[in-house]
Amino acid sequence: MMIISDPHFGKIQHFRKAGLSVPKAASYKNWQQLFRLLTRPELEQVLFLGDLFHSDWNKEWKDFAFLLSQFPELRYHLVLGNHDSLDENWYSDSRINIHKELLLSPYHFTHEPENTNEYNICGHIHPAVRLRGSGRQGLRLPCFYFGNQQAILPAFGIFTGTHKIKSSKEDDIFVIAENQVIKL
Amino acid sequence: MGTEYQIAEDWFRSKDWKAFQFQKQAWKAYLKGEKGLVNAPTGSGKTYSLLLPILMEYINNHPDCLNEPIAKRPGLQAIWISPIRALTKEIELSTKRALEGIGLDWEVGIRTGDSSQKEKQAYLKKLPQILITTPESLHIMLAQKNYPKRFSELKSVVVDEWHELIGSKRGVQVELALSRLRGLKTELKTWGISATIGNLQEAAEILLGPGIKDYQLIRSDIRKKIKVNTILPDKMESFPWAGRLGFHLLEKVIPIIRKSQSTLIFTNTRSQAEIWYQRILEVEPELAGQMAMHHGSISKDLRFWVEEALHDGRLKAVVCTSSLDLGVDFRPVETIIQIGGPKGVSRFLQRAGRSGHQPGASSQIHFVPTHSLEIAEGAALRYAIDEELIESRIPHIRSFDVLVQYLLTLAVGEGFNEKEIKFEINNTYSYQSISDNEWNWCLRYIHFGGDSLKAYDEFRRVDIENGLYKVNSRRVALRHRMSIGTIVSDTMMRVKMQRGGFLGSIEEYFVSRLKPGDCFWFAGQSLELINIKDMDVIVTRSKSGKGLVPSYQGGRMPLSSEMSKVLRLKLEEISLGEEKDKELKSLRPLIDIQRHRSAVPTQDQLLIEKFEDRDGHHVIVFPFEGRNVHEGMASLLAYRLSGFGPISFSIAMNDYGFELLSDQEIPIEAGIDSDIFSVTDLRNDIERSLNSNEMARRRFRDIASISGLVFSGYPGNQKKMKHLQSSSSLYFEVFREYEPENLLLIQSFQEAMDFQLEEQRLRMALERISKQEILIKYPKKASPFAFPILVDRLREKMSTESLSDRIKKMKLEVE
Repeated sequence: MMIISDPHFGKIQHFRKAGLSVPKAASYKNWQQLFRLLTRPELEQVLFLGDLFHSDWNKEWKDFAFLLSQFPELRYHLVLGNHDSLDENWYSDSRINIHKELLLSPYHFTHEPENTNEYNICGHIHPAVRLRGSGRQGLRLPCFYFGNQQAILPAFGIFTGTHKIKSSKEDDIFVIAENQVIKL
Repeated sequence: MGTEYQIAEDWFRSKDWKAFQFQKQAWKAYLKGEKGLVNAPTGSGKTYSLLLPILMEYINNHPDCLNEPIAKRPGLQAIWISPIRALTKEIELSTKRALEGIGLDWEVGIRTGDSSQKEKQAYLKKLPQILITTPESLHIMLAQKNYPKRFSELKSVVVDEWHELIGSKRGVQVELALSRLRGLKTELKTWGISATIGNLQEAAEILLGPGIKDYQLIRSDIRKKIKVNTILPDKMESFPWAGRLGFHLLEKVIPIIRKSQSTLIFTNTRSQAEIWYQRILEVEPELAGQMAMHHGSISKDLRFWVEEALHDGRLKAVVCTSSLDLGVDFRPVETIIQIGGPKGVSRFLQRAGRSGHQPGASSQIHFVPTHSLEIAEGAALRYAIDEELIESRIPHIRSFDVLVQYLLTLAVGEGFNEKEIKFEINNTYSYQSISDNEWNWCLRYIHFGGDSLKAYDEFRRVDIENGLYKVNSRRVALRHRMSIGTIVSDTMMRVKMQRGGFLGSIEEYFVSRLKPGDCFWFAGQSLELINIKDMDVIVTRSKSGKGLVPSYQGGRMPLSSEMSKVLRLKLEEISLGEEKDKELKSLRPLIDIQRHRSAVPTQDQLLIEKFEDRDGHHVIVFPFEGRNVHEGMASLLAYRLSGFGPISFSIAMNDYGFELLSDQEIPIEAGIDSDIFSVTDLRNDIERSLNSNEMARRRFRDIASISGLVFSGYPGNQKKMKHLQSSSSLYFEVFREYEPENLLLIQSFQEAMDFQLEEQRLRMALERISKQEILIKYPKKASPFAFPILVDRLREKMSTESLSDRIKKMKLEVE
C-alpha cells in the first residue's frame, strides 16, 4: 500500500479561479509525480491520508479522476481530512473508498494526529524541521516524522506550506532536500 | 496696480506677516502657469507658497466670486497630496484660514484611510474644491467608476513632502497617479514641495517627468540652525565599548526631559523605544502619567491620542521611532533627544525639524550615544549638517508590483485601454525603460495569470471587453480595493485586548514564539498572551510587569554613505592628532587603546585585524561603510577566500566593519596579494557568494503584498478566506521553480541587489579600497573598534559544502 498525505489537489486552480496567479506548471509537476508513483510495480492499494482536494470542486478534479482511471487495477482509499468537502458522488465515481479513519493493525490511520491505542499515522501538519548550525542560521525542510507512538507524513502537494514541528532525539526524522531523503 | 499676487500680499499684511522671497517667487511662477519644485523645510511657510496661488488663479478668472457666497461651486480644482496623515489636518486648517481671510467661498476636504464612510460616500457625489489626500487614497479614487468626470475641472496637483515619498514605492504610486491625471488633463500643473536632499534635480525630474528641462526650482532662503549637543559620559573608561541601549547616560537624559515642556525621544528601532520607555519610568516613576510611547505598530487611535496629548501639553514626553511610513507625525516640540546614531543626516534633520516653532529659530538636539564609537558619530553629524552633506533619496524604478497594482486599480474602476496607459507610464521616471515585452508580460499576468495556455484554466482577474481591460468579478474588485495602500511589509497580527480594544499590530514572527501565558511588552504595557485566533492576538494586561520585548524585523537602517564618509574623515583627524570636536577629544583614552593594540587608520588606509582566540580564527575588516555594504563585502570575501581551499565562515557585521570567523586559519594575506577586493567579476561573485535567495525572498514579501498575491483583513466567509491564504514564501518558491521569468520574482532579486546590498555603494567602496594601503594588525587583545562586532553578533554561516553535506553535519537542536 502506498500512502500519500495532504495532496491538496485543486489548490492551484482554486487560487487561479480567485484571480491569484499561481503557475499552472506546478500542477503539472504534481500530476507527473503521482503518475510515476501509480505505475510502480506490485502496487495494489493507494491510501490518501486526508486533504485530497483543497476546496470546492474545480476542473483539476477531472485531471485527477482521469489519472486514477488509467490504473483500473488499483484500489483507492481516502481518510477524510478537514479540506475534503466534495459531494460523495465524486469519490464513488472514481472508486475511492471513503473512511473517517482506518484501522489496519498495528497502524491506525487518521488525517489529524490522534491519541490512539495503535501506532498512529497521520498527516495534516505538513511537518518540517528547522535545523541549526553553530550560527544563528537555520534551514527549514519538510520531513517525515516517526515518533514513538505516532508518525506524521509530509504533504505531497506542491504549493502547500509547512509547519515546524518539535522533536526529540528519540524520534526518527527524514528530511527532504534536493531530490534526496536524508535521515537525521 | 499691484503684483499678480496682490491678494496674497494683502492678506499677509492684514495678519502682520511678511512674505518670504521664495513664497513670492512661487506665487509668481505658479500664476505664470509654470510647474516646479519648492525646496523648503518644515515650518517655513511652504504650504502658503503653493496654496495661495491656487486660490488666486481662480479669483483672477472669477473676480466676482471674491467675498461672495458661491451658489454652485465648481468641481475639484486642486489636489494636495501628503504622505503624512496627521499633517493633512494642519494643511486643512491652513487652507480654511486662507479661504476665510481672503474671502473665497470654497470647500476643502480630506480623504485618507482615516476618513469616515460617510465622508467617503459624500465625496462620491460631490468633491470639495481642494482635496487633501494620500497617494493610496488617490489611487482608490482612480478605482472608482466615473472618476474622469470627477477630475474634469482639475487644475493642479501639489505633492507635499516629496523627498519623503521618493525613496519609497508610494512615490511610484504618485508618479502613476500623476501620469493618469495628466492623461486626463494635459494642461495640469504639477508642483512639489521637498526638503533638501542630495539629488533635488533628480527629484524634480521624477515628479515632473523624465528629461524635463523647463521647470522652476525655488529654494527657500531659510536656514534652520541646528545645534547638535552630544551627551558625554563623565567617565569614558566605564562607558561601554559595545551595546545598543545606552542606559549609562539615562541619568543625564532625565533632567533634560524634566526641564523641557515637550520632548520627543527618538530611538532607531521599535524595541529600543519600548525598552527606553520602561527604563525611564523605572528611574522616574513620576513621569508615569506624562509620558507615552509611539511607533508604527501601535494602533492609529492610540497614536492620534498621543500626538494630540503632546500638542496640548497633557503629555510631557513621548518615546518614539522616526517612522513616518504609516503617515503619522508630530507637530513641533521644544526638545528632541536622539538615542543612538541616527544613521543619516537627512533623517536627523527631519527629526530636528520637529523642534522649535519659528523658522529662523535654532533647534537643539541632544544626541545620546549608546557606545563609545558612536560618540564619534556626534561629531560626524555636526560636520555633515554644517557642510550640508545631505543624502540623496534613491527612487524605486521598474517596480512591477506597483505597476500591476495600478493596472488592477484602473481595471476595477473604469477599465483601461492598454495602448493609452502604456504611453502614459512610459513617460514616468520609474517606467520609462519598460519594454514592449515587459508590458505585455504585465498584461498577460493580469489577464491570463501567467502563461497564455487557456486549457483547463479558470483564472479570472481582468477581462478584455470592447478593447478595455476590466475587472468584472466583484470578489476580485473588493479584494483589490482593500489591498490598495498595502505598501507595508511583514505579516502583522492584530493585538487585541480580551475585553475589546485594539492596541496595534505586531509581527507574526514574534508571536509565533509565544505560548499562552507568556508576557511581552507592547506600547509601553506588559501584556499576557491569552490565545491566538486567526490573525488576532488576544491579550490582557499582565500584572507581572515582566516580559519579552519584541524585536521587530525592520528598522535597522545602515549608516548612510554620506555619514560614512564624514566618519572616516573624523577618524582620520583623530589619527593625525588633529581632532577639535569635544566628542573626539573625549574619545582619546579609547583611541589610545586602539592605537596601542592595533591602529587608527587614516583615509588612505584600510585597517584589518587578525587574531585567534577560543572562538576560533578572526579576521575583522573596517571599511566604515554601513552594515549593508559590509554584509555584501563579507560574503564576497568569504567566497573569494574559499578559492584557496574549502573553509566555513561565520559572518558578523555592523556599521563600522565586518568579521569572518572560522575554525581554520584564514588566508587573508594571500587573499590580499591576489586582489580579493577587486571589482572584477563583482556581479557574478556577489550572486554566487550570497544567499541571494534569502534576500530576494525577504524583498518578495512586500512585492507579494503589493501585487495582491497575499492579503489579509478581507471580510466575508472565514473558511473561504483561509483556503486562499498563502505565504509570500510559498509563492516565491513556486515562482522560482516553475516560472523563473516572472517579473515580480526578478524584481525581488533586483531589489535585493539595489537596496539590501546597495550594490552601487559596495562597488564604490571596493574601488576606494583598491586605492588604499591595507594595514593588517595582529592584536593580542580585542581592540575597541572590534569590540562592538564581536559582541553584536548576527551570525550567518557561509559554507562551500553542498547542501546535503551541510545537513548531515548540522546537529538537530531540540527546540
